[in-house]
Amino acid sequence: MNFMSSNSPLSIFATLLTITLFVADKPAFSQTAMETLVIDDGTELAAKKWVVAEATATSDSKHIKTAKTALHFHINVDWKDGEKNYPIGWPRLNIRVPPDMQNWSNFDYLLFSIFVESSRTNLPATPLGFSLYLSGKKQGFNRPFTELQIGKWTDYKIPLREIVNTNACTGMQFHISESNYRDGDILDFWIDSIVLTRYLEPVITEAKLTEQTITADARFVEVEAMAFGIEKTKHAVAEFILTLNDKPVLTETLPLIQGRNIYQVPLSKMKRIPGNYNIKITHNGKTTVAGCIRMIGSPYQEDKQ
Amino acid sequence: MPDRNHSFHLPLKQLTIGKWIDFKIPLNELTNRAHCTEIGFHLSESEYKDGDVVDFWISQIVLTRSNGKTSPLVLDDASAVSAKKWSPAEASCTADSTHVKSGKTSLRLHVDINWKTGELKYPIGWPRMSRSMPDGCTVRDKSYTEYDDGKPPPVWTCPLSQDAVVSDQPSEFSARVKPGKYNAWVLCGLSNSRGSQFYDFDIVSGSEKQRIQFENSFQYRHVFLKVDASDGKAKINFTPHSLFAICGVVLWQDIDTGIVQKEIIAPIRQITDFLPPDELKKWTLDQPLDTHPWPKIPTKDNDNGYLIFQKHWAECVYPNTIPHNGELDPEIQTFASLGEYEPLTFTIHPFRSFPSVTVKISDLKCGKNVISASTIDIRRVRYLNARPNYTTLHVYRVVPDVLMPYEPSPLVSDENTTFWLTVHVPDNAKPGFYKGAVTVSPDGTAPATIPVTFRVLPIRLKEDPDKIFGIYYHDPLDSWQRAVDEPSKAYYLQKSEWELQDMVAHGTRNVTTGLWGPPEKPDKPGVFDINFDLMEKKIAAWRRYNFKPPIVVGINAEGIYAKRSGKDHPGSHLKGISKPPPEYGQELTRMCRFIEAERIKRGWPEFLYYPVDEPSVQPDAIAFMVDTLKAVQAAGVKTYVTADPSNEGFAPLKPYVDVWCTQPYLPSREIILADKAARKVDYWCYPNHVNGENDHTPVNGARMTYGFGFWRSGFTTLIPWIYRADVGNPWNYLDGSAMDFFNRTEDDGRPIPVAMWEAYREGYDDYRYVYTLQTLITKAKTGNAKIRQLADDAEADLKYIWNQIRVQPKYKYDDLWAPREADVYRWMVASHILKLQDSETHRPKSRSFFRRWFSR
Repeated sequence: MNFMSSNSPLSIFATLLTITLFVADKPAFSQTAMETLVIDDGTELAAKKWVVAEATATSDSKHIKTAKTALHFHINVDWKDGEKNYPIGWPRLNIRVPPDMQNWSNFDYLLFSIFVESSRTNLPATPLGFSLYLSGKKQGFNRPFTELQIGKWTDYKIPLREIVNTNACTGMQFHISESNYRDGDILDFWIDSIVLTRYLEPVITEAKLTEQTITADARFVEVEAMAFGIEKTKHAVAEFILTLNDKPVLTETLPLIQGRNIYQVPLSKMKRIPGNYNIKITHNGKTTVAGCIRMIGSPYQEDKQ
Repeated sequence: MPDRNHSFHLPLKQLTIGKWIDFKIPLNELTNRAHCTEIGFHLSESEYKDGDVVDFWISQIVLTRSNGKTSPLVLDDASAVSAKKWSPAEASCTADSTHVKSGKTSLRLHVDINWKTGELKYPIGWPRMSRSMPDGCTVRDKSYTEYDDGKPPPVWTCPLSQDAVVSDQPSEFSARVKPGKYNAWVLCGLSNSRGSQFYDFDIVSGSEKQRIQFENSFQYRHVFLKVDASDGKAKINFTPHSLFAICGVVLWQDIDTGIVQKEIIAPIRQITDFLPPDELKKWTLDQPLDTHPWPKIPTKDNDNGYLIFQKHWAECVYPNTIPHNGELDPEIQTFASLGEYEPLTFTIHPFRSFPSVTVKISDLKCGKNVISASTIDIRRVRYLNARPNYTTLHVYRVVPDVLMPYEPSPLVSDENTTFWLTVHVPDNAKPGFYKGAVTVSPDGTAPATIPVTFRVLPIRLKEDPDKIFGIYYHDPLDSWQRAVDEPSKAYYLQKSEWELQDMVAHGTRNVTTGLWGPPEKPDKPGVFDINFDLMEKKIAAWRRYNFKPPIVVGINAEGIYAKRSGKDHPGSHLKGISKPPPEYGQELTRMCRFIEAERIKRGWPEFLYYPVDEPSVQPDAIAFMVDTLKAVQAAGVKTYVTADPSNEGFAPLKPYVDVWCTQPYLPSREIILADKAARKVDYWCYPNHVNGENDHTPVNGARMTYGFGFWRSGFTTLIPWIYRADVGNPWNYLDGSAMDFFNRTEDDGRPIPVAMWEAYREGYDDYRYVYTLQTLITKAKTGNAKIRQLADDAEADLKYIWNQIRVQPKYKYDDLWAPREADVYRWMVASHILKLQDSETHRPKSRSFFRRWFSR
């Protein structure tokens, strides 16, 4: 069953390819031009495109985040039913992506949110799994959704640039392993608005320190940052600023690279004294805080044990 | 034989009830033996009484050759799979463990003599079973295409490798050739199954001699020699110390070197060492790629044709890893305590090929004190083609893995080569800052020097007596027991010693073992044929190396199940299991009592009884486990179960489990501590995700698991799978049903570590730093105000580190500390140890002006 055929109403897939000014909570997102591609908008039409096994998939308005309805994945855990060889099986939702929609390599993120209800009072360690089917035999991306909690929305933002072979994403799956549950458990997942997004101009979406503590002999501080919207031919730079007691002690300019990358900020130009340093990145007038790092004395300074 | 007139019959008159009879049929008395199509067993009912019941157990059926001692070809291994290949008539054929000679099962031919049934014309007939030989019974090793279980074969083969001349007698290869000088390539090895055998032989041509050693089978060695055939005879001699195994010899003259390399050697080596071309088409290279640009290369490095960079030892440096700017032009700095091992690594990236590179480290000096260069172990990180996970097929990547003993070796253009140095700080070393240098000298260009600062701390790390670092283990003493020649026995004995020494040096204080034996015989209830003397030898080694109990002991519960239920052994995770009869549990209890009585009699340490590995939560499996664990506990002994109690499916087992062993750090610390406080139960962890069951790259995750992660968990013991396990060719991860696991073995039996094994030790050291500080804090709390303040400061920083740990069930790749951050926390701990030790001994700190002035 195809996710979308040319005469299907789901050609809305194409019409929903939009350029938007996406305003989000994080400063880095504000007023940044983005392009989105909707994969599932939560409608009944979209729900019918999922191939279901040992579960049901419908459009439902009980829990919604962005639209009027969301994809509702309902499971009655049954250890005696299911496939003959695997009565304790894997209830699942699958969707196939049509060939002309399979190239996700130019998108930055896959976004959706999930809400959970259950007859249980708590969820097992791996409540739900997610897979992408990618080009190449047995190639795939798997992600356990360990963060889910009953009665809460959890937002997922999967960085596509870090997944290989997204140039041919042939399908997607949500699944549970019944062995993680008790026989008779009831589970309901609402999956809200599955979309692909990409940035159209340089932006730093996330930044964090790879370390929380360093010694004073460290040659550099490492910042892991996600930058998007950077064309290969363009040259975008950002300032990495270290402050101690709110006073700047180092500013280094480094070129930005598309995707998630490690930026080593050399410390040779500053006096390295123990303390707590704040590190931020400024680019195009926007500031992204990377975090605070503690510097302690070096093991290689004889007098400062 | 193809022609029925050429079949061979042998009445087995020697058979006696209740005894094993060995048959050794000389094949040279058979005609047409080059093509045997079928073998069979039968009896004539006319020689029995109606109603008789007859059971025959037939052990492995093998062909041997070359002096009757060598390289058997297993025609039937008596397994359940093999049993199904027999076609019985008026009888049944199953794999059964009631009577075994080798392996876990025998073929059981069961016959109910019935003079009224059978073939219509012959009611008093010929109950029988036969099986065809897959490709005719030619005496050669199996081709890789003949393994039909859907998994890769244990070794990739080619026609040249599929037959070997094997002998314990000196032999000569001689070929008539055009007079002249020749090159020879001798392909050594075996592509069939042969365990517990050490091959050790010399290959001699004129004055040139090369010694070849390897264990078992499924592996090859390539020997290149010069052969002087001026008299028109090319001769190569093979002199066995145990056995030699030669697949073939290729001779050529210098003028043909190019074509021989290209058209003969390279294509065959691609098959034997990598993958056959038709198989390679199924596999995809999925190499991690760096996306960041190259840093600016310093002019001197450009001129020299290479650069040196340093990443932390716990970071994977692939052949194609791109360094960051801050990693160029490195200085190696590290610290360690007395008696501690500490790794130092660096990488050379050549911009062109070099025929050889040598690496030397100087003595490390601190005033008059010296750590001798001769005590510093230098190794080269070898890349291997690894599957992303150990059972994944058709995807591979080139990963840094095995730490090979150093020898000068070539550098390949644009391919990183990492060197791994391990400093073992002498127990009596003087603390201080030791200085030295590593010199890297590629042939034909300027050498590079890397300064080294190595600080020796005046700390003796303590082991936490309440924690155990263990590991699953395939003990070479089992092969020692089975080996048939003295060189092999000596090899496995020495290998066992070396591996135990290596384990001790890595902090391991516990290994798993087994007391495997067949179910009891009908006439001897409560008596089991178990080799306790072999266990005695293992326990002696255990004591010699101060290992810590309890000992996990595997037992043959599944064999009793198969006997008592009349069914096959269950599959992995108890697949296909059904409720056993009550006699199963009764016999299992007797087996445990039998073993326990011997343990007590011999004064051995406490055992944990391990009847089943990794049961599933299927209802039948859980019901079976309940019966099994009850039966084990009925013998008054403790049970050990590899299952995760946070999975609710295992809840019915809880009353019967004395030690849970889980793969992730689950349940949480809080739940474990509460459970341990409420009842007698223990929690062990087998973190296979950072040991054997991966592509050997989660090195940083391994350190976190064994060190700070272990500290943060509520578990008492770490016991991962496995110190070493070979699945087919131990140097090719793309063959076999799974990748080979963890450490490798040198040809003479010495262990070769993988990077993750070194991470195990670094985790063990991290934990020892923490524990040493904790003991000092406890003691300092009773001291004066100044000392108590130091203890409070130390405690605050320990809490800080505790809070920095991002607790995970599995520390593997994601959301870990950066590799060097763990060093920072280790230093933070060490610096508090130094302060507390200093205050404890009331020694003045070595900061006096005069002391410093004089030390200049």
